[in-house]
Amino acid sequence: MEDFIGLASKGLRDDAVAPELRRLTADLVKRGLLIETEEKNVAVMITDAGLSALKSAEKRDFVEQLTPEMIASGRWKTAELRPIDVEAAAPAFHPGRRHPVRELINEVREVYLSMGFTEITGDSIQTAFWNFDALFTPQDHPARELQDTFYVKGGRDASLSRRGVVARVASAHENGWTTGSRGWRYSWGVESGRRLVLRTHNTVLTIRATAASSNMESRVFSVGRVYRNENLDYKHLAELHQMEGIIIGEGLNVKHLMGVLTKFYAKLGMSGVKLWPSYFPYTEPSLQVMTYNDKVGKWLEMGGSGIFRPEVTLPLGVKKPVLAWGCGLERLLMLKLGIEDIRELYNNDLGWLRRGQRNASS
Amino acid sequence: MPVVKIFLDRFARMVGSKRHRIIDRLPYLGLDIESVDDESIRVEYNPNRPDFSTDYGIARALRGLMRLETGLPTYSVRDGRINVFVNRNLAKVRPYIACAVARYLQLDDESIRQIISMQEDLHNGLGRRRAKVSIGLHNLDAVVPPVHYEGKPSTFSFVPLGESRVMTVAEVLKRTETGRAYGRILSGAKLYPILRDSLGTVLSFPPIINGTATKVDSRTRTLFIDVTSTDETAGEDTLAVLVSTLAEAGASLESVRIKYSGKATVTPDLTSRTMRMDEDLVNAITGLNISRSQVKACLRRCRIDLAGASVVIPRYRVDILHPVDIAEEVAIGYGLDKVTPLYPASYQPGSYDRSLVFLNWVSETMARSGFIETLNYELIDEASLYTNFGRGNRGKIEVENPRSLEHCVLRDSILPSLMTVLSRNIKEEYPQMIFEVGTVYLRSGSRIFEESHLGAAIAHTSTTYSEAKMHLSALIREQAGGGITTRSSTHWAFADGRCAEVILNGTRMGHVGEVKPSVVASFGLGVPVSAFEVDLGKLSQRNA
Repeated sequence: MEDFIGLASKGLRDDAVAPELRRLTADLVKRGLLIETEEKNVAVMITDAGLSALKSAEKRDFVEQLTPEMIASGRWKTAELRPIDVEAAAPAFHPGRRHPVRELINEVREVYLSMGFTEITGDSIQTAFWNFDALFTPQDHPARELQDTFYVKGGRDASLSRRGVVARVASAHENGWTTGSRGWRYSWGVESGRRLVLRTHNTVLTIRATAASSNMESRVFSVGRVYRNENLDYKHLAELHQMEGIIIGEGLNVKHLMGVLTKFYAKLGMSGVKLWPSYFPYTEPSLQVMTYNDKVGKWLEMGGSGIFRPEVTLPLGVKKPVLAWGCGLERLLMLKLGIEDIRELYNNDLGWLRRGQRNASS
Repeated sequence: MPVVKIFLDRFARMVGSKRHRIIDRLPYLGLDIESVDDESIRVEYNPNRPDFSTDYGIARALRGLMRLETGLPTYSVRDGRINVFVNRNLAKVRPYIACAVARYLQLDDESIRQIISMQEDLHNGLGRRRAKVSIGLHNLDAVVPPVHYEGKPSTFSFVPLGESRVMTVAEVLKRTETGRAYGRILSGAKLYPILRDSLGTVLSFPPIINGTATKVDSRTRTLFIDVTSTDETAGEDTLAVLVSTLAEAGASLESVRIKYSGKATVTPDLTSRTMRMDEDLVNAITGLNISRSQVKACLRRCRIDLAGASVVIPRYRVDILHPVDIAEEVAIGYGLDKVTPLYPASYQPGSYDRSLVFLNWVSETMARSGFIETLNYELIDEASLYTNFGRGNRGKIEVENPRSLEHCVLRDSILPSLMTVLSRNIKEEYPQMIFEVGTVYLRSGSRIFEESHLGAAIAHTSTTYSEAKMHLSALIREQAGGGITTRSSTHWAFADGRCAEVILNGTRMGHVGEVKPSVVASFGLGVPVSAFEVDLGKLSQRNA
């Protein structure tokens, strides 16, 4: 081993080293177990000017650094710290930082809190029943296909059966149950509801909160990850974040929905909110939220909103109106940071993270 | 969402208004303008409104909203004499058919393009990619009625559209583009649906392809339309949307008698549907508090009407299921831009979820200790998760049909994500200290459960086990007061002899160690890595 270290320290380019050892050494370098270094010997001579400067310096007691010994012995009284080049660069230091997505999540959470909302969270893996059926999305709806939704291979919740809430939801799909709706007019199957999906929206969490609300007034929000079977490109991700909210309350209507959204986006720094008609299987009316962006100088689509349909709320035992909305978080962050390619947010480029991409609002 | 291309000159003529006013109002119909150029616009429409799949349908709605023509559009259907006989041998394959005849068509190239694009959109939307409903358009002059809809074996042959020779059904499924694309809809069938006339001329093989004999071209003046389906209502809905658009394009419609064994129907049926008017519900949802005559005016702008206590809905509006849908129409007819927002004040304080407050505290503490927070995908590739660590894939949790193999397995640990981040940043300055607080997925028997983990990694030329342990101990001291104990252990990510199990008050909560040299090499790193990963669920229990 020592021979080997000796050889290695002689350097790889030394022709005296046997070829097999050269190969072995090169291999170890490649695996990162040896480091190749180069030495350079430079001879310097002091000039006359330097010599005279040295002589004058010798009369003074220069030290490089104050040491504990100098302090204890009192030598500090005569010693002098040698001047250094204070203009020279110091080593770089990178403080710890939060991720920009998480910083915005916290900002959004604060906004919701200030508006009297209670935060909820839940599992990423949900039954198709809660992700789709409870939201009146028919079982042959394109959004439920493998092309759009991540189904967990072999995942199935066998405990789900056509009883209670499940039975009422099933009837709402088939014939409207007692909601006054025509329903989707097909035969609802429990097996499709048992499948496990990676949640495609956090409305699966707010709808479960609605189901658990016992018809009480409440304001609930959730900011979390959602999953879509997408090819990644500059405007699509397979995992992204959404911020959903609901308000359950007697007498709430479209005007209130507009009022809440206007306040919510104003607090996030968006000066105007406009609502256009839209469509979701689980809300009626369904409204698309447009906000005015000063930076780009135009109206941009921010998210969806609406009032849960009776086919959604009545089977859950909720008789009060439920205002609901959801909005992608990355879109907002891209606007704030001036990013055009959504993938940049998750590249985890340490240079980018270290520079500390602060939210523009802060 | 489906997209319609609209030529502005043609469209402005149809609507009877100016371009800029049209473009301004389109969003208030629920249409998204995707792009605009000098001569055309592309608009996205929501799939619940198949009547928006052509410029004809959009113009019809816009004339209402712009108050140029309000109330129900009416289309007359003359009694026709063509019979279609349906063989019951299709009962288990594709049992239903609805037909119509459209005469005196004068279609220019753009009108033909609009209709073909509508057919495609109807196939994909209401038709669920043809599985539920499919449409065939034929030149009636080439058809000798009556028409027969019946099941034939796979050896049955005809000349399909776009082919120059006779092919069997089996060949069509195997060799033609549409056969390969839609053949699975008929998989397992012993008989295949064929629509033929009295002389045996094949009109179509639904839902795959038409016959070439009845091909439609720019000289076609009379269309025979077939809509086959597995759901009678869906088929009739589709036909209603299609023929009311053809009527807008100037066609006169004629009905067709469909004779099933044991029952007969006449299609198309364009009778308006009615729904009870629920003014209280409308006002409760919209908050508008408007009078009955105002409600009526709003509905008429949406091409719906009010007759006595009934709302009258044109047959092509297949999206209206419940009185709440009428409330939305009233709001649209009123104009959402005229509604005043009203903030409902809250007298309840808000509150954070306790578990998320804890996770956030952990992240803050790590950042204060000098770590950079990273955020990684939970669906990752097998190489980063298993192969690079030289471990098997027991307990693997996969998703079905992932579009990308880079994102196909749910991670069971944060460490692979962190190693991937380090491997992508080898050009960045060291030391590198990174962490993630995130979800991991574990399998126990047939059950899958989710845990919140903290993973942290330190990479520089002289990092050691004790550096990682120092940071972990600091975090836990802040959280739980007491310290952790570490007991020698083995782990797939860590080198033997440089790995310990982390124990807090008797609970095992994770591992700390120096990453195996082989793993460092697999990820292409040039410096050693020390790391730890702990289950934050176990740590937060100490919070109480």
